[in-house]
Amino acid sequence: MGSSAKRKKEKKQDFQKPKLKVGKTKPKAANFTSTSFKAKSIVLTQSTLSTTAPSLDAQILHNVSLFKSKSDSQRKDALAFITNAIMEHRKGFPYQVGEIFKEACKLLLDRSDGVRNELLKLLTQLPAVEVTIHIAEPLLRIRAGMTSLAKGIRFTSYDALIWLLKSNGEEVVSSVGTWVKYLQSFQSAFAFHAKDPAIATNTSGWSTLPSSVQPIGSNDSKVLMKQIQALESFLRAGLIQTGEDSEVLAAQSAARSFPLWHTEYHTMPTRSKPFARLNLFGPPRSAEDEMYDDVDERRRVFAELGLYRTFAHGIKTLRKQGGEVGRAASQVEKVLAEGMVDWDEDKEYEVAF
Amino acid sequence: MGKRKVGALEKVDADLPNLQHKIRRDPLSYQDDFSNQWNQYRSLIDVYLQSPSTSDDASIVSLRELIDFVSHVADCYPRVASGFADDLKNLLASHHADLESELRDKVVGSLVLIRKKEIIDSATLLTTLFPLLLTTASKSLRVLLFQKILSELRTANSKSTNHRLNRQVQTLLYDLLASDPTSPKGIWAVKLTRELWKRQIWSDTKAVEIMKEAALSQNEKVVCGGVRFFLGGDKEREEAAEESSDDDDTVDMAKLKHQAGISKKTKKKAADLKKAAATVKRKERKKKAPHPLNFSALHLLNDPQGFAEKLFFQHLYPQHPKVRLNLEQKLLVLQLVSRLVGLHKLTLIQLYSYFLKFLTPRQPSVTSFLASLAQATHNLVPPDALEPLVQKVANEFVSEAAAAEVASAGLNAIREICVRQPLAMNETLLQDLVMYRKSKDKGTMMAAKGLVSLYREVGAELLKKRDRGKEAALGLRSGALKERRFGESEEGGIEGLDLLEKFKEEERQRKRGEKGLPEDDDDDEALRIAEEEQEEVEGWKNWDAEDDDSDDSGGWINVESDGEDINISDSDDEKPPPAKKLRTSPSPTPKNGEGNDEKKQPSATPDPTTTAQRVVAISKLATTRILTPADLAKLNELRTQASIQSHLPAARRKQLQVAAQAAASRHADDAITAETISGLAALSSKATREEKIAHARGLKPGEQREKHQSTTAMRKAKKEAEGKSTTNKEKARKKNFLMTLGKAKRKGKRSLVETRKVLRGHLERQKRGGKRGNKG
Repeated sequence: MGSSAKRKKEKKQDFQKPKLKVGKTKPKAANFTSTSFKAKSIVLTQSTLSTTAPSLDAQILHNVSLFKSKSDSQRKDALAFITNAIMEHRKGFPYQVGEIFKEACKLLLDRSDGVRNELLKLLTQLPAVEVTIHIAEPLLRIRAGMTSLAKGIRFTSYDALIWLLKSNGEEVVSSVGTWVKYLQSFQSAFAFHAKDPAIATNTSGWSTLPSSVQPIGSNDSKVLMKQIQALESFLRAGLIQTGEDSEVLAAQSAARSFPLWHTEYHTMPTRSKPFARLNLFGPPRSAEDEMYDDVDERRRVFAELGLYRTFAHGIKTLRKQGGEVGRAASQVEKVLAEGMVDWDEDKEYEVAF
Repeated sequence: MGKRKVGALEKVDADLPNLQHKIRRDPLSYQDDFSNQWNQYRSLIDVYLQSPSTSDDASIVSLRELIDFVSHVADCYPRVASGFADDLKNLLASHHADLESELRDKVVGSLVLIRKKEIIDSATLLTTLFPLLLTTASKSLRVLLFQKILSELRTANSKSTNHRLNRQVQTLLYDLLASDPTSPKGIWAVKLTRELWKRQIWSDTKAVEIMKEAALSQNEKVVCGGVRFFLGGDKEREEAAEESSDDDDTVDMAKLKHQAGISKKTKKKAADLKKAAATVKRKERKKKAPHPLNFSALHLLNDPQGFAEKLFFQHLYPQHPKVRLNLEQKLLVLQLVSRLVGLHKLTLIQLYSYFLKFLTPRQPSVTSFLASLAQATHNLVPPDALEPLVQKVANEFVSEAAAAEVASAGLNAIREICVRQPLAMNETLLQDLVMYRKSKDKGTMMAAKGLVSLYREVGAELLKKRDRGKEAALGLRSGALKERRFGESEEGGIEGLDLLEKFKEEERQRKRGEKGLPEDDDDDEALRIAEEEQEEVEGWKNWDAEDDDSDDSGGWINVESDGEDINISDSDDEKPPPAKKLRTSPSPTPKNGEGNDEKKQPSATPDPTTTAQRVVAISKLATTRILTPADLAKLNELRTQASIQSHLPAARRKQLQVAAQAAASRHADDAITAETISGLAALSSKATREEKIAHARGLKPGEQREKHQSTTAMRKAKKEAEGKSTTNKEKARKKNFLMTLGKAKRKGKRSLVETRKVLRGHLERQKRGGKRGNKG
């Protein structure tokens, strides 16, 4: 019929010629359906067709490749398999553990809780010597995880840090750019603020919040406990001299291999990046990026950057909270006191600023 | 068991947008959260930099999200996030080749974003992006970068012209072209400049300099880009301006007002109406705004002579030029050179001999060569440089044996050359060519006739007596028609000045008549001078008043000079523009009084004597007096009056003549194309019946008539298109069937008038024989 004005208009629109302009893209038709798609890779739910692969070697290789799988459960299963394999074949493990460790570390920031828990289990099974060489791999990721928004990732990171410090404490704190950056991460994770007025002038108004205000999502006491524990082990590893003096150690090792001289320089290095200190190829390092492989040096930096004051103050407030947290905080305080016992704070402070 | 309620930020780490939103609202309270994320971002960057090529997907995704997050809130924490811009710049500069594409695009986008937040300035952004544009191998990245650079330059120039930035970028582009003329990277300079020219962001000499450098470079793509710019850049700019002006859909104010009267009145609708009114007003103002002075690129050229010479001797003249251009590209360069020569009246003698070898009918696209030749001709080209060319065209193209198209193209080309330089023709050749007037082929015949009519005006003595025509013969006899010698140029004048003079004289006589004085009395000199002075003072009085009603203050545009003067070529110096004498300085100079004294004599003898004297008298008015604003206004009025009068049938013929003359001396700015040369060839072949019909219908060749329709339908469509309504009858006929039922039921209740109408209708139909009638 087409009598109503609306209908007429509609009809007219049907017969209108679209105005075409040169150089402009042609207008899409009303019933246009986009058929474009994006694909990176095709994920098959069953990528393993046969599990009766005979050799352990091949199975490990396959499972390590599954670390990159899209499916959570597959990653988890792969980790579990590797853990079992390492446990069963402690002697004569057919694959380089260091390589597995490197691959596994990429899962530290994984989104699935199960995968991360399984990863922690695997990590505890790894021999400390193998870890030492590849220590740079997990350090960066753990630091990223410490301040993540997701609680689970934070929890795992602290766990992994505690484990790493337990097995390779000295190596961790003396790596390139670890000491200062980790302390800064801890500071921001605890929301400690530089209370000192001399430092507060730099911060110009940003540190006005009371330190009892916790950042969002971090006020879970379980995570907080973990965090305090991790801090304690970190400070312990960094500030307190373990074992004997290096000179004594050197003398001992020389005595052990008596007829030979400087044996350790001719063997494979036992630590990661033995020449990193020289910084042969990298850009010049700032105070943050520098490596501090001496306890005294670490102490000096700790005090000079004002971190000592901040931490001491922050821990004191935490201790005042009492309870479990307070008890843990008092442990940290003890470590601080022990580590900085012969440090004349005021004197060094003058030097620094 | 109910689900535990989780806090907003506890849920997942995909909650960065949430945190971002909160930070935007209250940056102070969320500083710790930001610094946590900042630390995470820093560590992820470190992770990435450790092994840029083998990073895993997950960390790349989270890095991308974090970069996005930080770039959105970085302006809230300038101290914490101080290194952000440098991070991004380094990341892009050193790893653009192996960055994952999405992450790479995000980094580019973030840089643009923090530029918008004014964390970095445009110069930094452009100096980061531009080198990338040149080096990257990825096409998608190049597209993205080009678009970002362009939009950055547009926004930087949106409020007011950012001269500093423009200069910086222009220098960058210029250096790019100048530093390595052989590299193909110069194409980016060309693309960028052309785009900015098109959008009227750059319209200064510096941009033209860049293109000039491009045209003289040694890469064929760059050369073509530069040359095409000069040939088509201005047209493109005009089209873009037109498009943007008709792009914005027009608001029909009347319709809106009408609707507002009918539909429900709400605050929203009122606001809409107000907004529409504001839009219309703005658009109106924009339309009335003075047109920005856009000089064509060809006019902004500094040293066109040098440019034309370099172009010619670099790309065309040598046997083995540095850049091998194919024929099409060579033609482009040739077009530009000849355009420059014709427009600026340059002297480039070698150019004409260069043409010689191309002027054979077998040469591909010879019409383009002919067009270029005609374009390169102007009245200051020595005739002996052109004569061999004309001779060759005549020999090669125009003969009885040649095809009709060839002959007409040759004749047409000769005519186009001779329009510009009539002295290029000699008597024997012309008389020979004129014979083709009798050709059977229509195209050739028309072309030859064109030549005859041209020489009747510019050089009648070259024609045989019987070809000269009446007017030319009379003109020759009276001496009015003289051959112009080489280098002689026409003296200019002010159009309608004679009318003004005549008007003034009449006015003076009328006044004298009113006062009772004898109309023609030239004894009373003092009185006359006094009268004129008084008149002049009155004329100046009007100055301010007129000043006000023309919207002057907004109307002036400051045209900024770049500190470089436009070079005026030598040929221009020879004839000072006559209009300069007409300066209307607001304070009358002492010269004014002197001028009046000098003027006495010619205006005191009003009786028309010989034409020569009259010409002198006219020119005196402009040269001896400063025309007051009142004079100028009157002049304008008289001019329009005269033009209206000329529409009367008596003046028709004269007017036609003038129009023909105008067509003959086409505007110097317009290019001559191959179509102009080969146009008449269309006349040679007989049109088919279809073509004739199409021509009669006013359709272009190849166009189809839309559809077959009845006249009524066409009329109706036309009415509808005009926005008119239908008739009542039409409405009744189209009325919904269900709506008519009620009325049909009430047949018994019809009014007397209705009954009468029905009965009458019945009778009528009977008489006609049915509803439609039986008239066949």
